[in-house]
Amino acid sequence: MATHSAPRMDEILSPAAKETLKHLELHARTAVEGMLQGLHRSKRKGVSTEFDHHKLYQAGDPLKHIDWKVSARHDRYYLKRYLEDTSMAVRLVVDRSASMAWDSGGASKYLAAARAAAALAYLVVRQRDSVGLALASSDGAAWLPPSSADSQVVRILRELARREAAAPDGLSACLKTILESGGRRGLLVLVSDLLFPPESVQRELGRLAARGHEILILQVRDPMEEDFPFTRWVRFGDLEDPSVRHLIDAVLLKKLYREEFQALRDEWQAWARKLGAHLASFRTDEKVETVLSQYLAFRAGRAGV
Amino acid sequence: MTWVHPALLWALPVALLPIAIYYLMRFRSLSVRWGAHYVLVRALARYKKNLYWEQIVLLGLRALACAALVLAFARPTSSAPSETLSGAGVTRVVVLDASYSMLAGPEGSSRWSRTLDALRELSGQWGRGEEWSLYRMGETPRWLVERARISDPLRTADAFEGLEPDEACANLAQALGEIAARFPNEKVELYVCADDQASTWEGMEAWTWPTEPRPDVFWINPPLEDRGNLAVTGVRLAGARVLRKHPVQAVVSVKNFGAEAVQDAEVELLLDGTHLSRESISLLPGQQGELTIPVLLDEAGSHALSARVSGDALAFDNRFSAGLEVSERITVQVPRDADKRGKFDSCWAFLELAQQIQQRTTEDGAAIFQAAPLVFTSPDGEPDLSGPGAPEVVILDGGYSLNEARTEALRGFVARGGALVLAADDRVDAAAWNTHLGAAGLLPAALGEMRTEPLAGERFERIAKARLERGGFMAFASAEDGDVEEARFFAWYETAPPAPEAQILAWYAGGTPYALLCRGPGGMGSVLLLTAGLNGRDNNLAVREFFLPFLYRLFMAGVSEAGLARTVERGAPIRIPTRAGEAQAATWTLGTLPPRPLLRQTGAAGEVWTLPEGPDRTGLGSVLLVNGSATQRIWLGVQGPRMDSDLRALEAATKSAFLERTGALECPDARTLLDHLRARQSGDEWHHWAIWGVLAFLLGELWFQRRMG
Repeated sequence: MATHSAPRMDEILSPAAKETLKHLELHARTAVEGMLQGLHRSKRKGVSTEFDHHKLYQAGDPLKHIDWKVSARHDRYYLKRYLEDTSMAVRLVVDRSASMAWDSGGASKYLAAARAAAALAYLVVRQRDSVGLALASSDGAAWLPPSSADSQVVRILRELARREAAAPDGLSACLKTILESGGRRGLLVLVSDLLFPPESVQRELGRLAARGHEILILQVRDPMEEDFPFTRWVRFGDLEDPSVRHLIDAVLLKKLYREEFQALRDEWQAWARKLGAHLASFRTDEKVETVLSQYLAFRAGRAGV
Repeated sequence: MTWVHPALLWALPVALLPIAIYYLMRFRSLSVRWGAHYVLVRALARYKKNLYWEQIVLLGLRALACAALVLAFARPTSSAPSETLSGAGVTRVVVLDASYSMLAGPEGSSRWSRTLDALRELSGQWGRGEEWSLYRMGETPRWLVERARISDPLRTADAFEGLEPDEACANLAQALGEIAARFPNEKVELYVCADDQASTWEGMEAWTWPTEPRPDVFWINPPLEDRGNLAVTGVRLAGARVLRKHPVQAVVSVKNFGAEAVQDAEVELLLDGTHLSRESISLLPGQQGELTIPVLLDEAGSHALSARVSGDALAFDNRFSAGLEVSERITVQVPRDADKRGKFDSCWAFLELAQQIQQRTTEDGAAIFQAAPLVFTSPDGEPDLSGPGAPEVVILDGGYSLNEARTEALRGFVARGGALVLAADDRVDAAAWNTHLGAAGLLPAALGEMRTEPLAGERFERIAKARLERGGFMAFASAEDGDVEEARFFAWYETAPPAPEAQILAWYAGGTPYALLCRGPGGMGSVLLLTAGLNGRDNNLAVREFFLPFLYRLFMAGVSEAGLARTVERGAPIRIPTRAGEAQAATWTLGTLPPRPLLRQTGAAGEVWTLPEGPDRTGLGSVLLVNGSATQRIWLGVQGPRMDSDLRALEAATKSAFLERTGALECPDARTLLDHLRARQSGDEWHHWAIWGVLAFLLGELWFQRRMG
């Protein structure tokens, strides 16, 4: 059990992971706004092949969009309107609170979160969508605005590698900043262990969803944190606040802890279901590419339905 | 409430051990900076109050379990009377009278069986972990169990299984002395399991326990209503040798050990287990009497003759047995000098007459004489007295002069088990006999002056019928074989005082001995001295009707047992001579005792199978000779003194003095003893409840642990 220093870039996104991710695609589940034509549906009407609805002609409307057949049938002029295909903006929000530094012997939660974020960034840039990064912590968030440039992945990796999980939780403040910045609708991916009071974060995510953003939450779990394998007295210190300590006979608390851990997960699941967001959960000892692959397959299946 | 081991209560602080461990574990806690602290706080916030109390309860359970364990080892007992016995730190010592007088009583409920039943019941009530010892009185007093811890009270009674009384008497004073020396200054519960036989309590008149504290004494003494006891003290045959179809006298000795006279008590004689005859006898208290019962045995070989009485308190001593070896013939040899072969030079012509009578037949050629014969021979030269054809009897008289070489040959013959009959007729060189035979130890009494009277005159000597003391001649005490007093001797020797080992079988009416017998050790070899000749010259034996019976009685009485002794004293060695190669192995069995092998000793005349230490109990036993697949059983009676047959009770004054001095409680049975012990016990033990408590606490802890996850 140790906390790691900042991860290296090749630890975060390895060539093998890139190879696995090469064949995956991330599609928006809801309509998004983008500057460029792309793979995703947009709320804006424009040039596309997908019909949306008819509109009464008004002076100044382009004549080329008049649907002559419908106009002849109703003795009025009607215009055909089409949905516009556009590019997607993906915002990666990575929890950089100190609790993410927990490592039970394999990878730290922060490293697992960074791997997931990097993998998504690589995937998004490959399909010419833009991706941005926010590293959320109480000592101020690190921002990288969305961009579809190939170099964006490198920037994101550098940013993830430059920082380590050390500061107290600042996730809700980070999300609030995103909301207030008023950017285009897109996909917001939150990568966190979700082991904090959920109310403020859920509130901000709810607002972002109301603004038309699609929310995807990737929960990182540590096996030891989940199993609570202690069989003796343990003096627990809080990673985010060293002044907080609890001396507990872990044997007596084991069952209660596991119940509470599961209850918190269930709370997040229920909330996500209610909001229409996706919550995917993975352990630090699992391969991120595999987890993402399974999730994207699930997502594609749900989209088809 | 009291405690069996109150000192263990000092260990009660052990109950604080779980609390100490609790704080030690807290002190040695693991420090962890925990990532999921929010979950931890949620769990703690939800259950903090319960957790605190549960920890307190768990700690309390552990402390109580430890305390209960200490209390269990301290063995609490209630102050109420108990249903089971618990010895509060006492040492229990059982002293058991294993003399055979304990077998007195009705069949199936003897004092012995009742005492063992009482001990079984008593020991079943003792508590686990208690200490007990068992001392056995009897032939070899010894500790059978010494300071043993009881692991299972029900198994303690196993120590009494297989015990049987010894054929000996007990000495309580000696036993209690040994016990007192072994347990000085200890709290002892002494269980005296002995009868009230006076001989057992000899030396107890002023006995006291020598050290403090004095023991609690309990005397288990099953009552005995009838103390009348007859015992067969011996059964034997009057003659040394038994011949087929020749009547012999069985002599049965019976003693009245009871305090009252016995009238017409029946004595039954059995041959090989089947009834042979029955006689009755009347005896005064303490009197011993002998019954002489004529017996006729039809078959040669090994037989068992038993005598028994019945209907008294102690059946153990009601029977004795003797082994018999019934012979087919007796070979008699008469050596004669070459120049003394005349009709009147020796007894040969006289014995030839007897031989002719034995060989007479009826008109159709059938033998008249059916019984085993006396076979007489007279060698032409020197007799062969050491080879396989050596006779059983050699008759020496005036027809065979003595010298050193012949005397040495005769001494060797007797030493090998032969019988030498010295017939002192008027041709005997008395001086030579006294010199040679006396020096060789072959003369029961030195010959003195010879008395001669005119033949057919009025002065003669005759055998006194009233002084037939032992041996086959006793048959002449009755008139069945004729009146032996009709025999008249006109020449006879007076003798010097006989040797100490010599037995006088028959006397002349004038008061001098007629027949004197000396036997070698173990019945091997014998010398019979007749102070008159065996001839038809100076006596009228040849014309009396008892001529042949007289000769038979003479030889049967005088002939050595020559290794055919079939009755031994208890503890005396057994010796069974066999011809070379007759047996490959031999075993001795008696009753239910395990068989014991006999040792083989090879000598010039054959082999001798011996059991040097002898049988350790009386009864009818047998030696089994094994030769390949063939076996031969030889019955042997083992007899010995009746040492513990006197059932006279301890004097009332001695008994009450003992009870008063020791504070002993006399109990007739286990029930009375247990009732008394329960009444004075401190009460039921509760330690098993404490153990159940420990188990309950441990289960409680297990349940809590499971509940905690």
